[in-house]
Amino acid sequence: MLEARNLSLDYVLGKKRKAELIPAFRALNMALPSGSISSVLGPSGCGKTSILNVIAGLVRPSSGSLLLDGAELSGLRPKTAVIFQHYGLLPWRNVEANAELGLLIQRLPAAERKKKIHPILEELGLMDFRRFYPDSLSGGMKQRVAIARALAIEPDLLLMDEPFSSLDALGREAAQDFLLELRKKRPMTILLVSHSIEEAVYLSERVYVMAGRNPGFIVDSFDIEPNRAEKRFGNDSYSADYQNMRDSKELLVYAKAIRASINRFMSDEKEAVPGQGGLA
Amino acid sequence: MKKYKKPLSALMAFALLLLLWALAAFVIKKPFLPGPWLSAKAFLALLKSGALLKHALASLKRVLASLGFAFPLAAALGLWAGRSVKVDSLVSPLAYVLHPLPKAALLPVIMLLFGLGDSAKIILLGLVIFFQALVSAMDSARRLSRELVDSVRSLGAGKRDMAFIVILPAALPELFTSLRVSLGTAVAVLFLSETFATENGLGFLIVDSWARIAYPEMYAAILALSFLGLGLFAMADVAEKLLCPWAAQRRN
Repeated sequence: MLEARNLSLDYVLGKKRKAELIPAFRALNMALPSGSISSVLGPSGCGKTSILNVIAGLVRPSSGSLLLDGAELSGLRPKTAVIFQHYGLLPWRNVEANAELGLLIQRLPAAERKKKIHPILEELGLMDFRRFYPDSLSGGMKQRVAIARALAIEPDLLLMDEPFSSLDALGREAAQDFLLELRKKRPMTILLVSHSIEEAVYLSERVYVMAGRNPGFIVDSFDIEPNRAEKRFGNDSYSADYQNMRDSKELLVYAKAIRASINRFMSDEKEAVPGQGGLA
Repeated sequence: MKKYKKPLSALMAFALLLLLWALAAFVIKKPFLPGPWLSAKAFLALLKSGALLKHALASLKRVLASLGFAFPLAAALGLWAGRSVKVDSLVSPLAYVLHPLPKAALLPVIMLLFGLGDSAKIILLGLVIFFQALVSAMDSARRLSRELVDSVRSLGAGKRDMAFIVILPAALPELFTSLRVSLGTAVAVLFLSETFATENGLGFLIVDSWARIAYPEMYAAILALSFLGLGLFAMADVAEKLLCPWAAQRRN
Protein backbone atom coordinates (compact mmCIF):
# COMPACT_ATOMS: atom_id res chain seq x y z
CA MET A 1 0.00 0.00 0.00
CA LEU A 2 1.32 3.40 -1.00
CA GLU A 3 -0.17 6.21 1.04
CA ALA A 4 0.05 9.95 0.70
CA ARG A 5 -0.94 11.80 3.85
CA ASN A 6 -1.67 15.48 3.68
CA LEU A 7 0.97 15.85 1.00
CA SER A 8 1.66 19.40 -0.21
CA LEU A 9 4.19 20.92 -2.53
CA ASP A 10 5.21 24.53 -3.08
CA TYR A 11 7.75 25.55 -5.66
CA VAL A 12 10.18 28.25 -4.59
CA LEU A 13 10.61 30.90 -7.26
CA GLY A 14 13.46 33.40 -6.97
CA LYS A 15 16.14 33.59 -4.32
CA LYS A 16 16.29 34.11 -0.57
CA ARG A 17 14.34 37.12 0.66
CA LYS A 18 12.66 37.80 -2.64
CA ALA A 19 11.59 34.20 -2.94
CA GLU A 20 8.01 33.53 -3.83
CA LEU A 21 6.10 30.35 -3.07
CA ILE A 22 4.08 28.91 -5.92
CA PRO A 23 1.81 26.16 -4.61
CA ALA A 24 1.68 23.08 -6.86
CA PHE A 25 -0.78 20.92 -4.93
CA ARG A 26 -2.24 20.90 -1.45
CA ALA A 27 -3.36 18.42 1.20
CA LEU A 28 -3.27 15.31 -0.90
CA ASN A 29 -4.54 12.06 0.56
CA MET A 30 -4.22 8.95 -1.51
CA ALA A 31 -4.07 5.23 -0.87
CA LEU A 32 -2.91 2.88 -3.61
CA PRO A 33 -3.37 -0.80 -2.76
CA SER A 34 -0.34 -2.96 -3.62
CA GLY A 35 -0.62 -4.39 -7.09
CA SER A 36 -3.35 -1.99 -8.14
CA ILE A 37 -3.43 0.36 -11.06
CA SER A 38 -4.61 3.83 -10.08
CA SER A 39 -4.98 7.07 -11.94
CA VAL A 40 -4.77 10.73 -11.16
CA LEU A 41 -7.12 12.49 -13.51
CA GLY A 42 -7.21 16.20 -14.07
CA PRO A 43 -6.80 19.09 -16.50
CA SER A 44 -3.34 20.27 -17.41
CA GLY A 45 -1.78 22.57 -14.88
CA CYS A 46 -3.46 20.97 -11.86
CA GLY A 47 -0.18 19.59 -10.50
CA LYS A 48 -0.51 15.98 -11.68
CA THR A 49 3.07 15.71 -12.86
CA SER A 50 4.31 17.31 -9.66
CA ILE A 51 2.63 14.51 -7.72
CA LEU A 52 4.53 11.90 -9.72
CA ASN A 53 7.79 13.78 -9.19
CA VAL A 54 7.25 13.81 -5.44
CA ILE A 55 6.31 10.11 -5.27
CA ALA A 56 9.33 9.30 -7.47
CA GLY A 57 11.55 11.14 -4.99
CA LEU A 58 12.73 13.65 -7.56
CA VAL A 59 11.17 16.53 -5.64
CA ARG A 60 10.86 16.80 -1.87
CA PRO A 61 7.33 17.58 -0.62
CA SER A 62 6.85 20.78 1.39
CA SER A 63 4.78 19.01 3.98
CA GLY A 64 2.96 15.78 4.65
CA SER A 65 4.30 12.27 4.25
CA LEU A 66 4.52 9.33 1.90
CA LEU A 67 4.31 5.81 3.27
CA LEU A 68 5.06 2.60 1.45
CA ASP A 69 3.74 -0.40 3.35
CA GLY A 70 3.88 1.73 6.48
CA ALA A 71 7.49 2.86 6.07
CA GLU A 72 8.28 6.49 5.37
CA LEU A 73 9.41 7.17 1.80
CA SER A 74 11.93 9.90 1.15
CA GLY A 75 14.11 10.53 -1.85
CA LEU A 76 14.80 8.18 -4.72
CA ARG A 77 14.43 4.46 -4.29
CA PRO A 78 15.85 1.75 -6.56
CA LYS A 79 12.55 -0.11 -7.06
CA THR A 80 10.56 2.88 -8.28
CA ALA A 81 10.49 3.34 -12.05
CA VAL A 82 9.21 6.46 -13.78
CA ILE A 83 8.06 6.74 -17.38
CA PHE A 84 7.95 10.35 -18.47
CA GLN A 85 5.51 11.90 -20.86
CA HIS A 86 8.10 12.25 -23.63
CA TYR A 87 9.80 9.02 -22.53
CA GLY A 88 13.09 10.64 -21.45
CA LEU A 89 15.19 8.51 -23.78
CA LEU A 90 18.76 9.62 -24.41
CA PRO A 91 19.14 10.30 -28.17
CA TRP A 92 22.83 9.25 -28.09
CA ARG A 93 22.16 5.78 -26.73
CA ASN A 94 20.61 3.12 -28.94
CA VAL A 95 17.57 1.12 -27.87
CA GLU A 96 19.56 -1.47 -25.96
CA ALA A 97 21.81 1.11 -24.29
CA ASN A 98 18.77 3.11 -23.22
CA ALA A 99 17.00 0.06 -21.87
CA GLU A 100 19.97 -1.02 -19.78
CA LEU A 101 20.65 2.45 -18.37
CA GLY A 102 19.28 1.72 -14.91
CA LEU A 103 21.42 -1.40 -14.64
CA LEU A 104 24.48 0.50 -15.84
CA ILE A 105 23.93 3.08 -13.12
CA GLN A 106 23.63 0.22 -10.62
CA ARG A 107 27.12 -0.82 -11.84
CA LEU A 108 26.03 -4.21 -13.14
CA PRO A 109 28.67 -5.78 -15.42
CA ALA A 110 27.93 -5.76 -19.16
CA ALA A 111 27.28 -9.50 -19.43
CA GLU A 112 24.68 -9.42 -16.66
CA ARG A 113 23.03 -6.36 -18.13
CA LYS A 114 22.60 -8.19 -21.44
CA LYS A 115 21.25 -11.25 -19.69
CA LYS A 116 18.54 -9.19 -18.02
CA ILE A 117 17.79 -6.86 -20.91
CA HIS A 118 17.53 -9.27 -23.83
CA PRO A 119 14.47 -11.18 -22.60
CA ILE A 120 12.72 -7.87 -21.91
CA LEU A 121 13.56 -6.50 -25.36
CA GLU A 122 12.33 -9.79 -26.79
CA GLU A 123 9.07 -9.54 -24.82
CA LEU A 124 8.48 -5.99 -26.00
CA GLY A 125 9.30 -6.81 -29.62
CA LEU A 126 12.35 -4.54 -29.60
CA MET A 127 15.09 -7.11 -30.11
CA ASP A 128 15.45 -6.44 -33.86
CA PHE A 129 15.61 -2.71 -33.18
CA ARG A 130 18.16 -2.80 -30.40
CA ARG A 131 20.85 -1.01 -32.45
CA PHE A 132 18.48 1.79 -33.52
CA TYR A 133 18.68 5.25 -32.01
CA PRO A 134 15.48 6.69 -30.49
CA ASP A 135 15.12 9.42 -33.11
CA SER A 136 14.51 6.82 -35.80
CA LEU A 137 11.66 5.14 -33.88
CA SER A 138 7.92 5.85 -33.84
CA GLY A 139 6.22 7.19 -30.71
CA GLY A 140 4.86 3.78 -29.77
CA MET A 141 8.27 2.16 -30.12
CA LYS A 142 9.91 4.88 -28.05
CA GLN A 143 7.37 4.25 -25.37
CA ARG A 144 8.18 0.54 -25.36
CA VAL A 145 11.86 1.39 -24.96
CA ALA A 146 10.95 3.51 -21.94
CA ILE A 147 8.92 0.59 -20.58
CA ALA A 148 11.84 -1.78 -21.17
CA ARG A 149 14.11 0.57 -19.26
CA ALA A 150 11.63 0.70 -16.41
CA LEU A 151 11.08 -3.08 -16.29
CA ALA A 152 14.83 -3.75 -16.32
CA ILE A 153 15.19 -2.46 -12.77
CA GLU A 154 12.40 -4.85 -11.68
CA PRO A 155 10.22 -2.17 -10.11
CA ASP A 156 7.49 -2.75 -7.57
CA LEU A 157 6.18 0.76 -8.16
CA LEU A 158 5.71 2.14 -11.67
CA LEU A 159 4.82 5.79 -12.21
CA MET A 160 3.65 6.93 -15.65
CA ASP A 161 3.10 10.51 -16.73
CA GLU A 162 0.43 10.68 -19.45
CA PRO A 163 2.01 7.62 -21.00
CA PHE A 164 -0.34 7.33 -23.96
CA SER A 165 -1.01 10.96 -24.76
CA SER A 166 1.28 11.16 -27.80
CA LEU A 167 -0.04 7.99 -29.46
CA ASP A 168 -2.85 7.91 -32.00
CA ALA A 169 -6.20 6.47 -30.91
CA LEU A 170 -5.60 2.87 -32.05
CA GLY A 171 -2.04 2.85 -30.81
CA ARG A 172 -3.29 4.15 -27.50
CA GLU A 173 -5.80 1.32 -27.04
CA ALA A 174 -3.17 -1.28 -27.93
CA ALA A 175 -0.73 0.31 -25.48
CA GLN A 176 -3.35 0.32 -22.71
CA ASP A 177 -4.02 -3.40 -23.19
CA PHE A 178 -0.31 -4.00 -23.34
CA LEU A 179 0.08 -2.31 -19.96
CA LEU A 180 -2.59 -4.59 -18.49
CA GLU A 181 -0.76 -7.63 -19.87
CA LEU A 182 2.49 -6.40 -18.37
CA ARG A 183 0.86 -5.92 -15.00
CA LYS A 184 -0.63 -9.40 -15.18
CA LYS A 185 2.88 -10.86 -15.50
CA ARG A 186 4.51 -8.67 -12.87
CA PRO A 187 3.20 -7.72 -9.45
CA MET A 188 3.69 -3.96 -9.56
CA THR A 189 1.74 -1.08 -8.14
CA ILE A 190 1.08 1.34 -10.97
CA LEU A 191 0.10 4.98 -10.75
CA LEU A 192 -0.60 6.87 -13.91
CA VAL A 193 -1.44 10.43 -14.61
CA SER A 194 -3.98 11.06 -17.32
CA HIS A 195 -6.34 13.63 -18.69
CA SER A 196 -8.59 11.12 -20.38
CA ILE A 197 -11.58 9.96 -18.38
CA GLU A 198 -12.09 6.83 -20.53
CA GLU A 199 -8.46 5.84 -20.17
CA ALA A 200 -8.50 6.27 -16.40
CA VAL A 201 -11.71 4.26 -16.06
CA TYR A 202 -10.53 1.47 -18.34
CA LEU A 203 -7.16 1.05 -16.66
CA SER A 204 -7.61 1.78 -12.99
CA GLU A 205 -9.25 0.37 -9.95
CA ARG A 206 -9.08 3.76 -8.26
CA VAL A 207 -9.37 7.15 -9.91
CA TYR A 208 -8.47 10.37 -8.13
CA VAL A 209 -10.02 13.44 -9.71
CA MET A 210 -8.06 16.65 -9.38
CA ALA A 211 -9.06 20.23 -9.97
CA GLY A 212 -7.79 23.71 -9.22
CA ARG A 213 -4.53 25.19 -10.25
CA ASN A 214 -1.65 26.44 -8.11
CA PRO A 215 -2.61 24.70 -5.98
CA GLY A 216 -4.43 21.72 -7.41
CA PHE A 217 -6.21 19.35 -5.07
CA ILE A 218 -8.15 16.12 -5.11
CA VAL A 219 -11.87 16.73 -5.33
CA ASP A 220 -13.13 13.21 -5.57
CA SER A 221 -12.11 9.57 -5.83
CA PHE A 222 -13.82 6.60 -7.44
CA ASP A 223 -13.36 2.87 -6.97
CA ILE A 224 -13.93 1.02 -10.21
CA GLU A 225 -15.15 -2.31 -8.83
CA PRO A 226 -14.68 -4.51 -11.93
CA ASN A 227 -11.04 -3.42 -12.14
CA ARG A 228 -9.98 -4.76 -8.75
CA ALA A 229 -6.52 -6.30 -9.04
CA GLU A 230 -7.66 -9.64 -7.59
CA LYS A 231 -10.38 -9.87 -10.23
CA ARG A 232 -8.37 -8.73 -13.20
CA PHE A 233 -4.98 -10.22 -12.57
CA GLY A 234 -5.80 -13.04 -10.20
CA ASN A 235 -6.98 -15.63 -12.72
CA ASP A 236 -6.37 -16.41 -16.36
CA SER A 237 -9.93 -16.52 -17.61
CA TYR A 238 -10.51 -12.82 -17.19
CA SER A 239 -7.82 -11.35 -19.42
CA ALA A 240 -9.69 -12.10 -22.64
CA ASP A 241 -12.37 -9.72 -21.43
CA TYR A 242 -10.27 -6.57 -21.60
CA GLN A 243 -11.68 -5.70 -24.98
CA ASN A 244 -15.24 -6.37 -23.85
CA MET A 245 -14.71 -4.22 -20.81
CA ARG A 246 -13.70 -1.31 -22.99
CA ASP A 247 -17.24 -1.00 -24.37
CA SER A 248 -19.09 -2.23 -21.31
CA LYS A 249 -22.00 -0.25 -19.93
CA GLU A 250 -20.50 -0.63 -16.49
CA LEU A 251 -17.46 1.44 -17.34
CA LEU A 252 -19.56 4.02 -19.14
CA VAL A 253 -21.52 4.54 -15.94
CA TYR A 254 -18.30 5.19 -14.04
CA ALA A 255 -17.08 7.56 -16.74
CA LYS A 256 -20.37 9.43 -16.53
CA ALA A 257 -20.13 9.76 -12.77
CA ILE A 258 -16.56 11.06 -13.00
CA ARG A 259 -17.47 13.53 -15.70
CA ALA A 260 -20.35 14.78 -13.60
CA SER A 261 -18.03 15.25 -10.65
CA ILE A 262 -15.58 17.28 -12.75
CA ASN A 263 -18.33 19.42 -14.23
CA ARG A 264 -19.89 20.02 -10.85
CA PHE A 265 -16.62 21.27 -9.49
CA MET A 266 -15.88 23.43 -12.49
CA SER A 267 -19.25 25.20 -12.26
CA ASP A 268 -18.78 25.68 -8.50
CA GLU A 269 -15.39 27.18 -9.13
CA LYS A 270 -16.72 29.62 -11.69
CA GLU A 271 -19.33 30.94 -9.28
CA ALA A 272 -16.96 31.15 -6.34
CA VAL A 273 -13.93 32.80 -7.95
CA PRO A 274 -14.79 34.32 -11.29
CA GLY A 275 -11.94 34.44 -13.78
CA GLN A 276 -9.47 32.72 -11.51
CA GLY A 277 -6.20 32.33 -13.38
CA GLY A 278 -2.89 30.97 -12.29
CA LEU A 279 0.53 30.13 -13.54
CA ALA A 280 0.80 27.98 -16.61
CA MET B 1 27.21 6.55 -53.95
CA LYS B 2 26.32 9.25 -51.44
CA LYS B 3 29.46 8.47 -49.51
CA TYR B 4 31.70 9.65 -52.36
CA LYS B 5 29.80 12.80 -53.13
CA LYS B 6 31.55 15.04 -50.63
CA PRO B 7 35.17 14.28 -51.62
CA LEU B 8 34.20 14.40 -55.28
CA SER B 9 32.65 17.86 -55.08
CA ALA B 10 35.59 19.05 -52.97
CA LEU B 11 37.92 17.83 -55.71
CA MET B 12 35.92 19.71 -58.33
CA ALA B 13 36.04 22.91 -56.27
CA PHE B 14 39.79 22.45 -55.94
CA ALA B 15 40.21 22.01 -59.72
CA LEU B 16 38.17 25.15 -60.34
CA LEU B 17 40.38 27.15 -57.98
CA LEU B 18 43.51 25.87 -59.74
CA LEU B 19 42.04 26.88 -63.07
CA LEU B 20 41.28 30.42 -61.85
CA TRP B 21 44.76 30.67 -60.38
CA ALA B 22 46.40 29.53 -63.62
CA LEU B 23 44.26 31.99 -65.57
CA ALA B 24 45.19 34.88 -63.27
CA ALA B 25 48.89 33.99 -63.47
CA PHE B 26 48.69 33.84 -67.27
CA VAL B 27 46.96 37.22 -67.52
CA ILE B 28 49.05 39.11 -64.95
CA LYS B 29 52.42 37.58 -65.89
CA LYS B 30 54.37 38.93 -62.91
CA PRO B 31 56.96 37.06 -60.78
CA PHE B 32 54.89 37.55 -57.60
CA LEU B 33 52.11 35.42 -59.07
CA PRO B 34 53.60 32.17 -60.36
CA GLY B 35 51.08 29.68 -61.74
CA PRO B 36 50.06 26.48 -60.00
CA TRP B 37 52.59 24.49 -62.02
CA LEU B 38 55.64 26.44 -60.76
CA SER B 39 54.26 26.45 -57.23
CA ALA B 40 53.66 22.72 -57.33
CA LYS B 41 57.25 22.19 -58.46
CA ALA B 42 58.47 24.28 -55.53
CA PHE B 43 56.15 22.30 -53.26
CA LEU B 44 57.65 19.00 -54.39
CA ALA B 45 61.20 20.35 -54.06
CA LEU B 46 60.48 21.51 -50.50
CA LEU B 47 58.90 18.17 -49.74
CA LYS B 48 61.93 16.30 -51.09
CA SER B 49 64.39 18.34 -49.04
CA GLY B 50 62.37 17.59 -45.92
CA ALA B 51 61.95 21.28 -45.14
CA LEU B 52 58.22 21.32 -45.76
CA LEU B 53 57.58 18.38 -43.48
CA LYS B 54 59.70 19.94 -40.72
CA HIS B 55 57.79 23.24 -40.87
CA ALA B 56 54.41 21.57 -41.21
CA LEU B 57 55.08 19.34 -38.22
CA ALA B 58 56.16 22.33 -36.14
CA SER B 59 52.88 24.06 -36.98
CA LEU B 60 50.82 20.92 -36.43
CA LYS B 61 52.48 20.39 -33.08
CA ARG B 62 51.48 23.89 -31.96
CA VAL B 63 47.86 23.44 -33.01
CA LEU B 64 47.51 20.00 -31.44
CA ALA B 65 49.18 21.09 -28.21
CA SER B 66 46.85 24.07 -27.83
CA LEU B 67 43.88 21.92 -28.76
CA GLY B 68 44.93 19.31 -26.23
CA PHE B 69 45.01 21.67 -23.29
CA ALA B 70 42.36 24.24 -24.20
CA PHE B 71 39.54 22.08 -25.57
CA PRO B 72 39.00 19.61 -22.70
CA LEU B 73 39.46 22.37 -20.14
CA ALA B 74 36.94 24.65 -21.84
CA ALA B 75 34.46 21.81 -22.36
CA ALA B 76 34.64 20.73 -18.71
CA LEU B 77 34.36 24.27 -17.34
CA GLY B 78 31.58 25.22 -19.76
CA LEU B 79 29.49 22.12 -19.03
CA TRP B 80 29.94 22.66 -15.31
CA ALA B 81 28.92 26.31 -15.56
CA GLY B 82 25.93 25.35 -17.69
CA ARG B 83 24.63 23.06 -14.94
CA SER B 84 25.56 25.04 -11.82
CA VAL B 85 24.17 28.47 -11.06
CA LYS B 86 27.10 29.26 -8.76
CA VAL B 87 29.81 28.40 -11.27
CA ASP B 88 27.83 30.12 -13.99
CA SER B 89 27.72 33.40 -12.08
CA LEU B 90 31.53 33.38 -12.11
CA VAL B 91 32.21 32.04 -15.59
CA SER B 92 29.43 33.69 -17.61
CA PRO B 93 30.50 37.33 -17.13
CA LEU B 94 34.12 36.42 -17.89
CA ALA B 95 33.16 34.57 -21.04
CA TYR B 96 30.92 37.43 -22.09
CA VAL B 97 33.74 39.97 -21.82
CA LEU B 98 36.60 37.82 -23.10
CA HIS B 99 34.98 35.82 -25.91
CA PRO B 100 34.52 38.73 -28.38
CA LEU B 101 38.07 40.00 -27.71
CA PRO B 102 40.32 39.55 -30.78
CA LYS B 103 42.82 37.08 -29.32
CA ALA B 104 45.38 37.80 -32.06
CA ALA B 105 45.77 41.31 -30.63
CA LEU B 106 47.02 39.72 -27.42
CA LEU B 107 50.07 38.31 -29.22
CA PRO B 108 52.54 40.91 -27.90
CA VAL B 109 51.19 40.65 -24.35
CA ILE B 110 51.44 36.89 -24.33
CA MET B 111 54.94 36.97 -25.79
CA LEU B 112 56.01 39.42 -23.11
CA LEU B 113 54.47 37.23 -20.43
CA PHE B 114 55.48 33.79 -21.64
CA GLY B 115 58.65 34.48 -23.62
CA LEU B 116 59.42 34.00 -27.27
CA GLY B 117 59.27 30.21 -27.30
CA ASP B 118 56.57 27.77 -28.34
CA SER B 119 54.57 28.13 -25.15
CA ALA B 120 53.46 31.67 -26.00
CA LYS B 121 52.19 30.52 -29.41
CA ILE B 122 50.43 27.51 -27.93
CA ILE B 123 48.76 29.67 -25.28
CA LEU B 124 47.58 32.18 -27.87
CA LEU B 125 46.04 29.45 -30.03
CA GLY B 126 44.65 27.88 -26.88
CA LEU B 127 42.80 31.10 -26.04
CA VAL B 128 41.13 31.10 -29.46
CA ILE B 129 39.94 27.52 -29.03
CA PHE B 130 39.11 27.88 -25.33
CA PHE B 131 36.50 30.61 -25.50
CA GLN B 132 34.71 29.20 -28.54
CA ALA B 133 34.39 25.81 -26.86
CA LEU B 134 33.51 27.36 -23.50
CA VAL B 135 30.55 29.29 -24.89
CA SER B 136 29.24 26.30 -26.86
CA ALA B 137 29.55 23.98 -23.86
CA MET B 138 27.73 26.42 -21.58
CA ASP B 139 24.91 26.90 -24.07
CA SER B 140 24.28 23.23 -24.70
CA ALA B 141 24.48 22.25 -21.03
CA ARG B 142 21.93 24.94 -20.22
CA ARG B 143 19.56 23.78 -22.93
CA LEU B 144 19.42 20.21 -21.65
CA SER B 145 15.78 19.22 -21.13
CA ARG B 146 14.56 18.87 -17.59
CA GLU B 147 12.78 15.62 -18.42
CA LEU B 148 15.97 14.01 -19.72
CA VAL B 149 17.86 14.93 -16.56
CA ASP B 150 15.00 13.78 -14.33
CA SER B 151 14.55 10.51 -16.16
CA VAL B 152 18.19 9.59 -15.61
CA ARG B 153 18.16 10.90 -12.05
CA SER B 154 15.14 8.71 -11.30
CA LEU B 155 17.30 5.70 -12.18
CA GLY B 156 19.65 6.65 -9.36
CA ALA B 157 22.34 8.47 -11.33
CA GLY B 158 24.86 10.40 -9.27
CA LYS B 159 26.74 13.49 -10.38
CA ARG B 160 29.44 11.53 -12.19
CA ASP B 161 26.94 9.40 -14.10
CA MET B 162 25.02 12.52 -14.98
CA ALA B 163 28.14 14.18 -16.36
CA PHE B 164 29.28 11.27 -18.50
CA ILE B 165 25.95 9.71 -19.48
CA VAL B 166 23.91 12.85 -20.08
CA ILE B 167 25.64 16.22 -20.04
CA LEU B 168 28.79 15.44 -22.06
CA PRO B 169 27.20 13.38 -24.85
CA ALA B 170 24.39 15.92 -25.18
CA ALA B 171 26.97 18.63 -25.85
CA LEU B 172 29.28 16.65 -28.16
CA PRO B 173 27.78 17.59 -31.55
CA GLU B 174 27.80 21.24 -30.59
CA LEU B 175 31.36 20.99 -29.28
CA PHE B 176 32.43 19.61 -32.65
CA THR B 177 30.78 22.54 -34.39
CA SER B 178 32.67 24.92 -32.14
CA LEU B 179 35.85 22.98 -32.87
CA ARG B 180 35.43 23.47 -36.60
CA VAL B 181 34.78 27.19 -36.17
CA SER B 182 37.72 27.71 -33.85
CA LEU B 183 40.13 25.62 -35.97
CA GLY B 184 39.64 28.04 -38.85
CA THR B 185 40.48 31.01 -36.62
CA ALA B 186 43.29 29.08 -34.93
CA VAL B 187 45.09 28.44 -38.22
CA ALA B 188 44.90 32.16 -39.05
CA VAL B 189 46.26 33.10 -35.64
CA LEU B 190 48.90 30.38 -36.01
CA PHE B 191 50.18 32.08 -39.15
CA LEU B 192 50.40 35.41 -37.36
CA SER B 193 52.19 33.97 -34.34
CA GLU B 194 54.71 32.15 -36.55
CA THR B 195 55.78 35.36 -38.21
CA PHE B 196 57.49 36.35 -34.95
CA ALA B 197 60.40 34.94 -33.00
CA THR B 198 60.62 31.54 -34.62
CA GLU B 199 62.54 29.77 -37.36
CA ASN B 200 60.12 26.98 -38.01
CA GLY B 201 56.45 26.53 -38.83
CA LEU B 202 54.62 27.16 -42.09
CA GLY B 203 53.94 30.77 -41.12
CA PHE B 204 57.66 31.33 -40.86
CA LEU B 205 58.23 29.59 -44.21
CA ILE B 206 55.69 31.86 -45.92
CA VAL B 207 57.15 35.09 -44.55
CA ASP B 208 60.75 33.92 -44.99
CA SER B 209 60.33 32.99 -48.66
CA TRP B 210 58.48 36.26 -49.17
CA ALA B 211 61.51 38.14 -47.80
CA ARG B 212 63.82 36.05 -50.01
CA ILE B 213 61.61 36.86 -53.02
CA ALA B 214 61.25 33.08 -53.53
CA TYR B 215 57.66 33.43 -54.72
CA PRO B 216 56.98 29.84 -55.88
CA GLU B 217 58.20 28.64 -52.48
CA MET B 218 55.94 31.16 -50.76
CA TYR B 219 52.92 29.82 -52.62
CA ALA B 220 53.97 26.27 -51.86
CA ALA B 221 54.02 27.15 -48.14
CA ILE B 222 50.61 28.87 -48.38
CA LEU B 223 49.28 25.71 -50.02
CA ALA B 224 50.79 23.61 -47.25
CA LEU B 225 49.15 25.78 -44.58
CA SER B 226 45.81 25.42 -46.37
CA PHE B 227 46.23 21.66 -46.48
CA LEU B 228 46.98 21.71 -42.77
CA GLY B 229 43.72 23.54 -42.11
CA LEU B 230 41.83 21.18 -44.39
CA GLY B 231 43.40 18.16 -42.69
CA LEU B 232 42.40 19.43 -39.23
CA PHE B 233 38.86 20.01 -40.49
CA ALA B 234 38.67 16.48 -41.88
CA MET B 235 40.03 15.16 -38.61
CA ALA B 236 37.23 16.88 -36.69
CA ASP B 237 34.69 15.42 -39.15
CA VAL B 238 35.99 11.89 -38.72
CA ALA B 239 36.12 12.23 -34.94
CA GLU B 240 32.52 13.47 -34.90
CA LYS B 241 31.33 10.55 -37.02
CA LEU B 242 33.05 8.12 -34.66
CA LEU B 243 31.92 9.76 -31.43
CA CYS B 244 28.42 10.91 -32.43
CA PRO B 245 26.97 8.04 -34.48
CA TRP B 246 23.41 8.95 -33.44
CA ALA B 247 23.69 12.34 -35.12
CA ALA B 248 24.63 10.61 -38.40
CA GLN B 249 21.62 8.27 -38.17
CA ARG B 250 19.39 11.26 -37.55
CA ARG B 251 20.62 12.99 -40.71
CA ASN B 252 19.92 9.98 -42.93
